[in-house]
Amino acid sequence: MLFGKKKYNYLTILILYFKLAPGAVIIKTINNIIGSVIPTLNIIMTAKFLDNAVAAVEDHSKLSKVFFPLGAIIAILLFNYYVKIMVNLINTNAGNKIRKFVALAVADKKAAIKFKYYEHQKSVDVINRATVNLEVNLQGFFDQIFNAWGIIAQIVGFVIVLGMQLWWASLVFVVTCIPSFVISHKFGKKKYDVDKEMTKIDRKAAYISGILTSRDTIEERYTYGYTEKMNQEYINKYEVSRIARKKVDRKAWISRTASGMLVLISGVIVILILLPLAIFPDASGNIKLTIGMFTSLVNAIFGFSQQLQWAISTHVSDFKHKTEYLKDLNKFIEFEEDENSDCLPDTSIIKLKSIEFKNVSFKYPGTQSYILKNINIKLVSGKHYSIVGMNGAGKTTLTKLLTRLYEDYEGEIFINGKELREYEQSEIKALSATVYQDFCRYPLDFYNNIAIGNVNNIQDCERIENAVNIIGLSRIVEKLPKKYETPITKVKEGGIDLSGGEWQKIALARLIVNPAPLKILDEPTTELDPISESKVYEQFKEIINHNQKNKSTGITIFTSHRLGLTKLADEIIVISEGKAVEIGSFDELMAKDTIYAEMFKSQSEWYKENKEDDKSKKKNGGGVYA
Amino acid sequence: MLKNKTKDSINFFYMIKKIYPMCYKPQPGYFVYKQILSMLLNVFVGMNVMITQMFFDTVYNASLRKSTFYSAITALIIYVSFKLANDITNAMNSFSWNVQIAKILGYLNSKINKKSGLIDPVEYENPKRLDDINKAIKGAEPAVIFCFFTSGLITRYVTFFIFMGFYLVSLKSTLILCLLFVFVPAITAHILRSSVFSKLEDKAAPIRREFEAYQDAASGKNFYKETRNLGSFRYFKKLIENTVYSLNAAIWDAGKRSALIDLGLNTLSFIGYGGVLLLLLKNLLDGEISIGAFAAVYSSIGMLFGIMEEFTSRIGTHADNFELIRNFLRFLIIPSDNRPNLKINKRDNIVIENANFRYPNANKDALKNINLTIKPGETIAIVGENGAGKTTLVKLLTGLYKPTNGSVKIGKTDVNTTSYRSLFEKVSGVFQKYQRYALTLKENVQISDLKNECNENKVEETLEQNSINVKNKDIFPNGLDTMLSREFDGIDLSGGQWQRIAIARGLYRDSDIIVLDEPTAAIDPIEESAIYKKFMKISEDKTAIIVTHRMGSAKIAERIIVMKDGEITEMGDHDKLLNDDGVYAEMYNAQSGWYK
Repeated sequence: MLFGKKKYNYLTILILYFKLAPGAVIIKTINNIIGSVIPTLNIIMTAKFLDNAVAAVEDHSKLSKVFFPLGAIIAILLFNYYVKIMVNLINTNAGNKIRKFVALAVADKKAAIKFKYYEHQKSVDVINRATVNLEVNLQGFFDQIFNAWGIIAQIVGFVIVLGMQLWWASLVFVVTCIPSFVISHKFGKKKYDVDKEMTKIDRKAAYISGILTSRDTIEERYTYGYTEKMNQEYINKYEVSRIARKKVDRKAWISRTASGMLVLISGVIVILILLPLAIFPDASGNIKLTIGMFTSLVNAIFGFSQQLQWAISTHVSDFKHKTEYLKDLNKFIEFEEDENSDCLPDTSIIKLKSIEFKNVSFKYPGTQSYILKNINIKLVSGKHYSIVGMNGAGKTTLTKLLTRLYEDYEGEIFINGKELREYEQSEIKALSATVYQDFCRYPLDFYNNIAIGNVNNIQDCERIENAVNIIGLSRIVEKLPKKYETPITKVKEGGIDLSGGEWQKIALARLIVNPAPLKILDEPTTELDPISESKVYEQFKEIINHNQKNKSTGITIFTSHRLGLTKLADEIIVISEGKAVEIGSFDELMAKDTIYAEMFKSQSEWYKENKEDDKSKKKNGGGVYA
Repeated sequence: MLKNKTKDSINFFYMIKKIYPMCYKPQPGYFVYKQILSMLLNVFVGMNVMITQMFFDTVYNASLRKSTFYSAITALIIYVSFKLANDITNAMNSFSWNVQIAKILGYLNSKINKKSGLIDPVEYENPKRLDDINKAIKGAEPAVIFCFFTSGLITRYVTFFIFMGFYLVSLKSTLILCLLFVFVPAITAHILRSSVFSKLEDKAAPIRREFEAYQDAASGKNFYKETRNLGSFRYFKKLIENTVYSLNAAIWDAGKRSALIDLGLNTLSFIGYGGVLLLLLKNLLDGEISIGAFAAVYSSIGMLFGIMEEFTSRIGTHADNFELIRNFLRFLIIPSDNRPNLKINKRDNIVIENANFRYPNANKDALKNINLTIKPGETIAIVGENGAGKTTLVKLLTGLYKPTNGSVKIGKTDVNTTSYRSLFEKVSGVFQKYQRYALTLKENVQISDLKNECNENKVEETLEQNSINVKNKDIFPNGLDTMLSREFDGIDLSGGQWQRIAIARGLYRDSDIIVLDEPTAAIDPIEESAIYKKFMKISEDKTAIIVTHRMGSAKIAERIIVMKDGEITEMGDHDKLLNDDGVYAEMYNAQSGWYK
């Protein structure tokens, strides 16, 4: 399996690649084996060809001997020109196989990991780095090793051919090349380190540039007129990074040139050793090194000095990048999972009788302070609850616990007397439906964006149409070019843009079609204008009443800043600093005249008919409120 | 005026005319130096063949006893020194390339940044222009490469061809055919490639977009919570599975096609290569060229093909990048604001007369028949349904947008006649789309007034007024210098905290006119009323414009403007509007009903 428990290293990645695309691995291996002999073969055949051509110049009857090496050279050319194309095709094919597998495996893993990883930028970054382009990265590991193999084979082949002419010449070559390897290696590393360090400054510079050119910042950018100063800041940041990189670049270039020259020098030494062999006959009167072989070796040496300058340092920094990538991948694999989190909701709906929080305290993973402190509340079936409180008081956290996005709370939450954590995932899903503040705009058509709320019965058109009518979307559907089947995101061509308010209604319709008995609305109407908002809540009131008439049991919870709307609730729960400080009906809480009453009055003040005070406000500097 | 430059009128020569000076300006010395280096390099390429020939000939002759061992050593020394010089020049050339391109890019980007603050903001509402603006940054690098590539055409390739041409002719006149064998296949390949590839549109792109969208919906960050709660993961997994098949099919199809094209192109190169080889062999056997010359040219064939391939592939990428370069240039020729700076007294009437406003490419007016006079020090509330034109009216009032017809004047000055800088002097605002800058807390406030030295006390005071407790080390570990972004190793804030910072930002700026455009959506009720109270107090002596759809907040204004479908339908104070029993009364009653 792609995401088992084991960690990945170079070897296991290769094994994985082999498992996913065995055909590609085999063909590429054969290709590489042939490919590693080719440079050496090229040296030998070129030498033969040259020698025979020289011989043929003097004696045209020897012309036939030219054809074999010429044929071999052409065959090598053919190989180079055409096999490359085939390998590209094989890579495309292997890429497809891997994509098919990896896309689903990544989706599974991402859905299974605990919610906390999505609430921290650092772990979100890990997820992104590990999963974006995973299929390309997998192939990258393989190709890198094959490339390295190719270069090594080329050098080894050369050393062997050279050794066949004069064994110690190849020894001299190898020894004199070592410093060049060391230097290249060192600067490949250095370049990687500086790149990593500067990336942060670059991101900052790019961010500033983004502020200065984005459409979203227009109002502030023009009103505050900060372009000039911020642009200066951009230039400063950019230059810091540029100069640092330039310094490293300079060093890297010097080292590359130096290492290339070292190879060149060791090449010269080798040529100096070979030169007498090519010129002076040995004891038996023959010239040991033919002009063809000499030419061929010299060409190979100078070819290396160019290639090695680049290859080693590039490989080293590439290797570093890949090791870094493996770290991210392994971190991602180690992220804890929730069991069975990908299941569908149960089709049988439990009868919700009560929800009880007993001494519930909670702090977010990695934080010190409690967001919920010793909450004790009991919600009963058939009632409509409203949770109010300041920002950061813990309203949304309660929702997250109820939907079991976090399980490590202290105390207990009982649903019908059974602890929440003892329920199956599928039961939890069948239990509640939520409209979040940041509800999802799914890349689906209008119909499915609502129907997804009732995932076990997506085909139930009647239910959808009913919800659309209740929430007041029917007029909008009529206006859509393909009615219910109109894509409403830009992902598909012909997708229509809907306004924020219209989307909010879709999210509410999604909630209505959901059969779950516990319905939670987490400030879902912020983008609606007052008339629409009032209508939405009125409609909800009706839904609740309707449900009650039909004796269907259920609980509705909504959180809102707009206290006027909390009057709809049978009971209001006031959360302050993590504690449930007041619980009661609107009338009870107003009579109590403490926190809730104070908040309500503060808001309703805006709607009081108080003409004289209003008129005098300018003169007295807001005296009404004093 | 070049304002209406269309896609076609930005031709090759126009590109050269515009881009060259931009690349020359940041580092003139380097520019020339780089050109000389690249010319030198190509002379070396040609010389390389000659010196190689000389070296091999000498060695061969020495082996035949036609020359001495020492002359062979001398030839080797010359040969190696030349290779060294070549390597060093090569390294210098590559190094100077990186240095130069980085410098020029920085210059071009800052030019784009600056320009973005000088164009008419309404350009951002024009979809075609927005495309240019968004892609301008992407087009900067291709533009630089374009400059060096085209200049390199002369310094590199022409030099190279002339040099090689002379050398080959000097060996044997028919050898000039070698260049033909190298050049013709490469150029044919290029023509074929650009005509075939431009037709081979990436069919995979829309499928890929869909594929990625489903992956996101299944388990992406923003979808995780709801998808899990709904139990709809498997539904999306099925969609991923279905699209991956069509995506793979499209990718495979494109892969096959490009393999076919490559097959044809490589065959051409192969024929060319074979042609050169046979020509050389024939000349050698006929005794027309020496063995050294044969070996030298033979060992350079690879290099010749390499240079031609580089040449044509670069032309290829340039064709792809041309559209990006055009985006970049079209952006730069959008007219900049060059209206004069005028001293405008912001404590004067703002008068709008018969103004209409229409967004670019829209088919109806966003604002119609606007007539309005705002007195200095007045508090105006603008109310209306979503999309009624409230925010657009504010943009017209402050001069951010120019009316399509009619006029907007502050005192006697028409807002059309003066620069943005003068228009926004002593004007501040807090907007619906307030920004969450990934900067420090201090910078987040101070950014509204960067022209003046930062007054830390004032920053802190303004923040405290808005219930941001700077001294609370639990929230702001580094006080004012706390970085407000996880991305840059700082902290995360809640929506409500961000809103308060945005309000502090607007108030920090010294102003006579201030706009409050619904920034309070995520702030809780007690907090909100406190903010409005404070806002009233601070704006006592200012002209204040409040946009809201909370009717209770509108009531505090001296005058309420009700908008519907781009028109002002009602105007007056709260009581008058209630008596009129129009849209305002309906909205007010809808909301206040909840508080009775």
